[in-house]
Amino acid sequence: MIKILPRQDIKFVLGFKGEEVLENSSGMMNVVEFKNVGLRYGNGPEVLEDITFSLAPGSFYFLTGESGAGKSSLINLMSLSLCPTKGNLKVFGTDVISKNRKKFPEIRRNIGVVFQEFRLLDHLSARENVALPLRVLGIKEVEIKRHVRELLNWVGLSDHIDAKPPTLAGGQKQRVAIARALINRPKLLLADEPTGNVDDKMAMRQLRLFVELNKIGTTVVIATHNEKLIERLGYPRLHLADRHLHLLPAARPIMTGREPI
Amino acid sequence: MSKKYKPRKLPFAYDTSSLFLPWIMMLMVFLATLSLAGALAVQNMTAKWSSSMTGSLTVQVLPPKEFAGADMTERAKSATMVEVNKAADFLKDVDGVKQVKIVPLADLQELLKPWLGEAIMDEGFPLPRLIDVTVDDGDNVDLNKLKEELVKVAPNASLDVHRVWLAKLMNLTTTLNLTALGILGLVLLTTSFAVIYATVTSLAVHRPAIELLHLIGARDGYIASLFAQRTMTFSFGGAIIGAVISVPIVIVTAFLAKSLEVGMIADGWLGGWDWFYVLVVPFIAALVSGITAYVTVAFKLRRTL
Ligand SMILES: Nc1ncnc2c1ncn2[C@@H]1O[C@H](COP(=O)(O)OP(=O)(O)O)[C@@H](O)[C@H]1O
Ligand SMILES: [Mg+2]
Repeated sequence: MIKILPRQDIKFVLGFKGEEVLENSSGMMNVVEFKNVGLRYGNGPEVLEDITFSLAPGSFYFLTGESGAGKSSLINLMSLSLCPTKGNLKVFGTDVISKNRKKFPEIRRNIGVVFQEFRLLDHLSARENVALPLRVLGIKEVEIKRHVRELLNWVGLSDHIDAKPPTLAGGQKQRVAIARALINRPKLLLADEPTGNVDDKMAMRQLRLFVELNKIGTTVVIATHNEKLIERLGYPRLHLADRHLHLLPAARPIMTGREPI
Repeated sequence: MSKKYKPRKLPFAYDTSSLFLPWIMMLMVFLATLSLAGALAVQNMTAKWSSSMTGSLTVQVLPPKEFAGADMTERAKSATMVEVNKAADFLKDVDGVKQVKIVPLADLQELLKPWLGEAIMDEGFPLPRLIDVTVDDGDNVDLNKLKEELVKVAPNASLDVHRVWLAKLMNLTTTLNLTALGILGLVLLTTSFAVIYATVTSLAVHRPAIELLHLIGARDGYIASLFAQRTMTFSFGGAIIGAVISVPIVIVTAFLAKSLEVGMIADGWLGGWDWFYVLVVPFIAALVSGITAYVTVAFKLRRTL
């Protein structure tokens, strides 16, 4: 019943051309740059402290840490949902400060986010939810229709195109959220515990989507605490502990994404 | 595909927070249409009357009281002429008065002969004397004040009462006109406040959807225009109903005014453009509510990320 990753390649589904891959992976500018970033909510304590790291174009990281360590907070910073309360954060070269909010829409259009709680709009069908980023861009209705259908097919939801999120299972909602994050062909993909609701086998299948996407040049950050998956895929980790970030090297040689699961 | 695909562009769920908007719109368009029609009709009548009032005034000087009723003696005649001259001299110095002409006795007799017969040609017939006054513009001369001051100078002189009455009527219509415009202004203000209130409430209800739209790269203007579109749809329904109720009332009053066959009212009711203004009210109302919603959202979103 579940048919994730049919024969079609994601390059084809998203309409990527070869040049774009080259351009992405040879770009000079870091996608994300944290310099001594601190974050606190309101007058509360700092939940992130002195964070310094950068993401090169085309890189792939896991983001780990215990529950409450600040993974979602870090992702919210990178997706421009929050501004740092200390230090300096640049996303695609632009300072993330509220004064720059007029430039945010342009930047956000290059970022796909799979939110921890999905954030699907319950009164819209799966296809309308996925179409939203294209609507915002003012893409023609015919193209939206074709594009959305292909992507929903590709994540294995062709039978649930008109279903509304409340009628979908957790894993299905997740795939709608993933499709919505991918439809804009983002240069940066942020996924907040996208495998939280599904078993390991299913999680592995979903992760392969991101691996495929990364191969065509997208920078990917996936927050998870599923150690099995991390070891299996072997990408480097950004680990949050005691409000600080630690970079841990790859566990083992990176797999190609074509291995049998 | 069994179900036909219908694109649903509004990413906001149905909510009841804006449900009162059509009702407000209905009432407001009803009031606005009636007061606008009233204001236009009154304005038309006023314009007609004031154009009939420009030009000349007539001052009548009666023989002094002690001679009243008696045949005009020489003494009475000269006493009348003294007042006529006083009145004429006073009128010449009044602002807005262009020309003052004492109507010669012979002209007066000629004028009245058809009604009063040969008797008035008699030297002793007690005739009042008339002064023709040409004024710049009926609007610029305060006839009530002029009348009062004229009586101080020449107690037996009087200004054409009909014109004074007209002037008073025009004061009244101007007041009516301003009142109608005032109501129109209040209606506009109330409508705007209602729309602002509905929009702010709606923004709070749909905050998660708005945040999401922002995060997928929507600009404030995009979100604001979605809201404007939504508000306009809500408002327009109510506005049309308001118009459907009020326009027939205007049509009936216009019909009644015509049937009066009093030239000043019947001809001065509503003209072609006035009907256009009256019918355009619901569209303007919907547009104003849309623009108000847009501005409100754009303003509110400036404080978000
Ligand atoms: N909106 C918020 N307001 C206040 N505190 C918050 C908010 N979101 C997260 N926090 C706090 O920040 C810390 C990090 O949370 P979070 O980033 O969600 O961690 P994780 O995703 O790793 O579980 C937690 O202590 C949490 O209570
Ligand atoms: Mg989290």
